[in-house]
Amino acid sequence: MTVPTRAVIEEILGDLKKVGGITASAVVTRDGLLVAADVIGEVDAETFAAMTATMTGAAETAMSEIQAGSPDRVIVEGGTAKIISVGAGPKALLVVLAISDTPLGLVLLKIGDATRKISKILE
Amino acid sequence: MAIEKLKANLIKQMLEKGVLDLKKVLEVEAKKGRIAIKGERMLLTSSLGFANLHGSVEKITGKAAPAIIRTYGASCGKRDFTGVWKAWLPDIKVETVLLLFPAIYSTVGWGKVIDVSLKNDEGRVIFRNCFEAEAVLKTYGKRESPQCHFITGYLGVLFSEVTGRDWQVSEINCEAKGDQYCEFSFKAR
Repeated sequence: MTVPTRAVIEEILGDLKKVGGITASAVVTRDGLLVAADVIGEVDAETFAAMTATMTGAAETAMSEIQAGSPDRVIVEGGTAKIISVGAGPKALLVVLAISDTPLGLVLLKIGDATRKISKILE
Repeated sequence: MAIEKLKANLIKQMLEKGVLDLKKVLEVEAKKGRIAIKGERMLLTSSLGFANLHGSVEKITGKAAPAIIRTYGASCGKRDFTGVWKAWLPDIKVETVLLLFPAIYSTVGWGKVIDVSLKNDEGRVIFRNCFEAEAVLKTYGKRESPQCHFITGYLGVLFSEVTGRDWQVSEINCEAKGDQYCEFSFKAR
């Protein structure tokens, strides 16, 4: 991937952070490589990329096993944070970290906009 | 440095001339059901097991399977760097790894290393008869994308440990997708 492409994706991630409650985000390939990230300092972005791709991949195979199609998104809710993983085209995922009590309505809307842009860039 | 180079050249010659015959260094304790090399327990198993690993991880995690296999390779690369490379040559330098790499990995059956280089911000390793590609090819037939995820993870960590730099390794040619060899490209991050 070219540096300008990464810069454009980083800009999209930067815009996402302006949405209330979103603390970090990353674009990862479906096979777990980091494309770009806007993450909190202590997070190992490379490892996080592999983990979230695995989580999403497992959700997809589970849905496929019960013949329920592909998941639209994977949301993991914890005591202090939420992880939201959404497909950004056939090759990538957008993974977003949000504070646990963040209402999802606006967040999912903004994530949807971002995934469409990222998907186009990575076509 | 001179001593390390001398030692490295001796190891290289030993490996290339077949002086280090794996059959001779294998300690077989049949009564205990145990085999070892220099006291470390070994397990003799089919290389096709790697294809089973690929298939099983893919069954559970789908497209994310390479992430897990790369992580496994990376942990093995880290262990081998400490337990083998550093154990043999405590003051190891990258030049020594480049010198010995083909002989060592051919000896342990990974395949024939036909090129290994690392200059400035780039590098590459090329294997022929790569065990991981062959296992996948034999078990699942020709694949559309490179398959040597274990080796990719292994090389990334091995060369990062020895150089103290972070390398992004990608497999750009793979025997499992019909290429003539497996080629791993290195880029400094």
